[in-house]
Amino acid sequence: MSLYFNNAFAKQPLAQVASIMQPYLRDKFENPLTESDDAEDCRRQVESGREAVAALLESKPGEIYFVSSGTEANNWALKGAATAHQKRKNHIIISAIEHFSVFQTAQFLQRQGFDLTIVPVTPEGFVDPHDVEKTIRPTTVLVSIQAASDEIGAIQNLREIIELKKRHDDVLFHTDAVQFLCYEMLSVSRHPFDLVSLSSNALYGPPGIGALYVREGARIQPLLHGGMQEEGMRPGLQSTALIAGFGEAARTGIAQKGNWKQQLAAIQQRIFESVSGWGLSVTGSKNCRLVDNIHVLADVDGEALLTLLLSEGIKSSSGSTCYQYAQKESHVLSALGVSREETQGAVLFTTGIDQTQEDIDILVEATGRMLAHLRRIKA
Amino acid sequence: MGNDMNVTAILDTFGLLCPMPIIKTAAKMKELRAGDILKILSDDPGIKEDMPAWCVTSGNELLLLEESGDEFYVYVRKKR
Repeated sequence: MSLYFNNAFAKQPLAQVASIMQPYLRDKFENPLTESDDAEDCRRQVESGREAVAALLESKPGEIYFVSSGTEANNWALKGAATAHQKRKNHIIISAIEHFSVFQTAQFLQRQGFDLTIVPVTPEGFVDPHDVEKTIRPTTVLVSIQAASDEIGAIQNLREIIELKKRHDDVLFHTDAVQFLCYEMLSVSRHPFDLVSLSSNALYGPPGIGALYVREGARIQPLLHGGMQEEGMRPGLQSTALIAGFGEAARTGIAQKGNWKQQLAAIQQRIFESVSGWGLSVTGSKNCRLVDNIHVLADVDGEALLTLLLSEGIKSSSGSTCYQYAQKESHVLSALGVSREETQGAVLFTTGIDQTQEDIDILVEATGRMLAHLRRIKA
Repeated sequence: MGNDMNVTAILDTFGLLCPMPIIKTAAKMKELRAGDILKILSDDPGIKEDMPAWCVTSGNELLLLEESGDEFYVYVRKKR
């Protein structure tokens, strides 16, 4: 039984991921850049992992650089692109609902003197590619639009966004595909982004490892210096265990993605129906949405609802770290036009592949019961 | 001056520091034929010393090392 509905925040790594990592956690510990049979084995695992991650995007293995997380990938994409071209260009474009690792990095660059444009979204959370194009200037170095929102699940129209590249080929296009890639496909040959951020754990791999896809010929600066790993672009001793685990998660994801998507779409539909039954509506669009995302604005205090659910072993969240820890309204919900008062009812359930109909029965029954209880208190 | 050269391939090592520009140059050279000219782009000032030294040890011919602001353009002919 799994009453864990926080899969957007962390996923349980697959059993086969843990298995493939095991020998490299202790016995086979050597630096993949050195010369010995064990080091050669580590090197093979690293390159096999790189090939598997490249296959996810249908890219060349040499275009995949391992980093520590999706957050680092996003930081590197923005800072690396901005600093590589800053003598000629100084303008960055992002959407209003980016993950904080893009949003706050862009704000950091703004404080360093870069110009920043934040493109608004529709009330359903969609970026209009025409709005993006209107903001592109001769000095624009980078456009960064998240493939899918970790908070409200909105999937952007990547095809139309990357169409802009044809008319603005001197601008780098980045997408944060961390949440998107677990259940959706992104081929860089059909959608030729210059930079794509990935996270292993979001694909049921180990935490502590991610990757940045950098199109061959796209120029970005490294964030770190002082080593030959990752072609000198991301130095630091490679973790064979984490890369092997990431690779295994990528291989499994490629094979299982279709089944997982179908399974979670059925679960999502079931919960959507319950949300209607509770007299609530789903935040954002029900279409063009990640299949694991159910975000609602309850008419009761969201934190109270989460606490009551947790008392029955059901783990879920408000969807916004800022709200959870600082009682500050979510920048994503604000961008949708949600009022501060409404934000207080935010609840996010993100499902996972281990969940059964029985788990969903428990979630639906408990949430309905807790909502009724809180409504009675409120009245 | 470099614009007059009949460059066979370009290697962009922008952002990379020693020893990566040399390692990448050595790897790229393996793809080329004797007589081919490789143009290396770099913003590492260390390349001013590293590339001439590598050309001597590797037996390749350093044709030109141009500076343009903070950037360096190095032209190397593969000898064998």
